[in-house]
Amino acid sequence: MIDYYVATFYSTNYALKCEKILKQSFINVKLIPVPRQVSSNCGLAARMDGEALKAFRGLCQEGSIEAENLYSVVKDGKKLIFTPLSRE
Amino acid sequence: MVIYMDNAATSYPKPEEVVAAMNYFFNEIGGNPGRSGHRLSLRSGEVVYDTRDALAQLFNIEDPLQIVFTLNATMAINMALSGLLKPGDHVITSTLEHNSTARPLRYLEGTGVELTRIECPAPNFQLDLDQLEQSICKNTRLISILHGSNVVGTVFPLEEVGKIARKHGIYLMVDAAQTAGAYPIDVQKAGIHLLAFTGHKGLFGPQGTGGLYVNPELKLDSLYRGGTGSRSEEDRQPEFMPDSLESGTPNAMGLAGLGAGVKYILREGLPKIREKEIELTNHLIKGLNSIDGVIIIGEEKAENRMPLVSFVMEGVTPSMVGEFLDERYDIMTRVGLHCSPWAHQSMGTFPEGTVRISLSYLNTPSQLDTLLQALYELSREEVRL
Ligand SMILES: Cc1ncc(COP(=O)(O)O)c(C=O)c1O
Repeated sequence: MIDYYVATFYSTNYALKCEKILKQSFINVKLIPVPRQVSSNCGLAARMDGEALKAFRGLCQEGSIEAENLYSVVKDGKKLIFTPLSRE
Repeated sequence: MVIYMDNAATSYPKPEEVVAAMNYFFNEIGGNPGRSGHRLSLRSGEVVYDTRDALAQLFNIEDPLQIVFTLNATMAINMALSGLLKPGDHVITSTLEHNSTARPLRYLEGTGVELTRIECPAPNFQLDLDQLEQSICKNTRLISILHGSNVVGTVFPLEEVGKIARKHGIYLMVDAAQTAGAYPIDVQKAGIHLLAFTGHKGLFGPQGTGGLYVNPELKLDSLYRGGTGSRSEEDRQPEFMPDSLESGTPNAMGLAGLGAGVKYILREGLPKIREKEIELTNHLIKGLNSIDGVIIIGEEKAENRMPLVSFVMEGVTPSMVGEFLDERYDIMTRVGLHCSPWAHQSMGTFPEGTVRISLSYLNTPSQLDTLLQALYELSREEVRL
């Protein structure tokens, strides 16, 4: 069972842009520190549920936002397992 | 209460919400934007992004991330000119430029960049568009002009200049220090590739804020490199905007204030702001013209000028007029050369300079009447200096 999804960005500025655009479309995402498992960046990533992911992908295709990578996250006890997803 | 009429140097007072936004940032947010993942850093980042977004709306910029924040217009202009021009390139500018363009261009001239200055002839001190087009040659890379003059107030026709630039396939850089926030600017319609603005004048932000819009077609070399909060594992500067040109912690508290200033403008609406400023300018020009011995420099009509008038007074030096207005009437003006030797040379007011009255949306007709009365008394020698 997938618990949630995470998107990473080229930079914090892209993350902030994405957050603002999604909020304007009433799509719920939460910016979080980039999980160490997917990047050594000190920036921000977006955490979202399955429904938000659909809208997120739509906006990526439209070109209004840009993500670097998308992951699904599964909780396994204390561990989080990140699996890369296609952006489309 | 002082009467502040030096808004072309920096605007004062600022709308209340500008101060409130900075106060809120200082007390409730405080984090470093885009550097950490915690809540306060995130909120700080959101504030800075919000300001980018509001500016993009004001200037009709498609992607807010094409705006780079700087300390002021001067830094933005230097960033643009040094980041773009290479020895052998030709750049065209005007004789009304502020030293923040004149000096970088003179410096670049020393490194092998060719420079042509276009006249702005009396009595209107408008840019000579024919001369501009005729000056374009094979190696012309850039037209770099101001939008509104800080000395005579003339506003250049950006869309006309943009058409010429487009026709010849060259870039257009605009110094909007005077006009941003007070005069409509549409980067797409005017075909502007680089737009430099300062936060502390018409945009009603605090000092220490400004920025540069860079058209996505263009890649500028950065003047400096450093931490961006992105790609921290790499020791090379990122290539994407705005990080490529925006290293180091920005003035986030100042940008909180700038964002509030821009939103104030968007809410009031530029047409309304413009209309009031034109009214004030007409009032000022009419009043000055009725005082014996006052000579206004530049005849451009209020519709094509910033709310700003330069004048000289027969028999009284500009510095004496300024001192008199300050000491006797608590009226703040700026006298002298206004950081613009080129402009005063082309107006014939070098080296004494002029007295400059520069207004903002927040000035009132009754303040103008106080000014005009003071100048009238001075002209009648009813006062001893
Ligand atoms: C036309 C013009 N360009 C540039 C500047 C420089 O602005 P800043 O001092 O904010 O860099 C000014 C104001 O002083 C100006 O009037």
